[in-house]
Amino acid sequence: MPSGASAGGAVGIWRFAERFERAVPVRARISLGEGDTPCQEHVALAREVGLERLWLKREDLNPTGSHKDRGAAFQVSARVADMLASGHAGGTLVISSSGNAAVAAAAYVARTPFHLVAFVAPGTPDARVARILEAGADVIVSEQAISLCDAYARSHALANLRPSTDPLAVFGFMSLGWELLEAGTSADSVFAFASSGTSLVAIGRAVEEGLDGSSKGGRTGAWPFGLHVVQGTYAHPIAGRFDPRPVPAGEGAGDGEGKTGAHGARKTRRLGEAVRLVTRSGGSGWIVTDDEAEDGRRRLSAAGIDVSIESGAALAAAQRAAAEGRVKRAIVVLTGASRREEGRMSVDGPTGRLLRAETLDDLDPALGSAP
Amino acid sequence: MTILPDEDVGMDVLADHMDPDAAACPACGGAVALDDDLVVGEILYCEHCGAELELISIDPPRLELFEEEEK
Repeated sequence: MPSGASAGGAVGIWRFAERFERAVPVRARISLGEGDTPCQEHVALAREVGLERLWLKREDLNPTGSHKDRGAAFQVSARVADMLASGHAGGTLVISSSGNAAVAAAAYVARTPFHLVAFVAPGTPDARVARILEAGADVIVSEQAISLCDAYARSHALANLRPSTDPLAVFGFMSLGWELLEAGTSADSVFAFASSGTSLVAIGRAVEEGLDGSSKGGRTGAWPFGLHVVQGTYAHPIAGRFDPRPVPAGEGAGDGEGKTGAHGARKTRRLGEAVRLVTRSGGSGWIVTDDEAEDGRRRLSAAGIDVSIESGAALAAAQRAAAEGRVKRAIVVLTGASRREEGRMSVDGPTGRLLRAETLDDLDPALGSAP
Repeated sequence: MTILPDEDVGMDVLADHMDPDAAACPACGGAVALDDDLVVGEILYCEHCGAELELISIDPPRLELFEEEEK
């Protein structure tokens, strides 16, 4: 059993183990305590932003400080299951992410016989890179982080944990959707910041599973809430399909400005499904400026909740929707903690290596025959 | 729905028999089915050659090979 594996498997996302389409045996399941985050009502904050009622889904309280832990827990556990079934001992997994996904992946992989190689873009915050290294993963800094990671994975037949492309990434995030349904609120809307839209799609699938009358879901009828996608001015491939408000001058409009959701993808394979789910739910999309996101973060901080600017953006979007009379009772998903509140996931053992590479020829000598 | 076969792929036969709700894969010329609810920018897969394709426009339907964007 991997270190961190949950005896009985009934904690965190594994409470929903029977509902995942891909079965993962108990002995392969890893949990660091992700999931089952509180959904807290905030009366004063609701009044402040013009809502009748407001609940905050505290994904910032996940072990590494973001909802990415849900996806990583499932992705890595599924690879452990494959490893156990094959009889092989570990190997290398890769991920390209300049955001929280690589931090989460490193924390979970550290509890397994696998080794992680994370590809990040230049400009990724030092603190984030340090957290990946502390977990024992190697970090490759590259201008071509995504394509180099893909090429490396293909050339060595390695699993790529990048959430937007790994089919297994959606499953762990579905637990967030099921928890939102379980919360029993009277919310008419859910606001969540999205990058590639993987977690958004997962929430949507989790809800629609019940609407379809699936034996796994049991919920029938219309969507219980509108699903609202929130993105920043840096990249808004999904929200841009809904939000007619022009992006303010100097705030990017797709040319790489704006720090909310910085490093997010401007193209995403989840686009079509995300747009259809948001539309069917009766929700919408919101492009939030940095100033609005910072204002949302300040309001949350004043309420004693220190979160990422993306979480602040989600509150700002709910505020704007309330001002436009489109929502009254909202759940705002706080997808990430502030940098200083993020959990430290150091593990015993050596830290990873920090390398710079732009081609496979750079990589192979540096990493050796990783697999 | 009008079909715009890629002139380089020599898929006249396929194009002649293309379903009206399909477009030609720019990689292999095979027919790629287009559902009614697609959105511009959506990524599709050619079931003939496995290419990842980006829907550039719906009317007329036009597909291009998907190019990964480095942030």
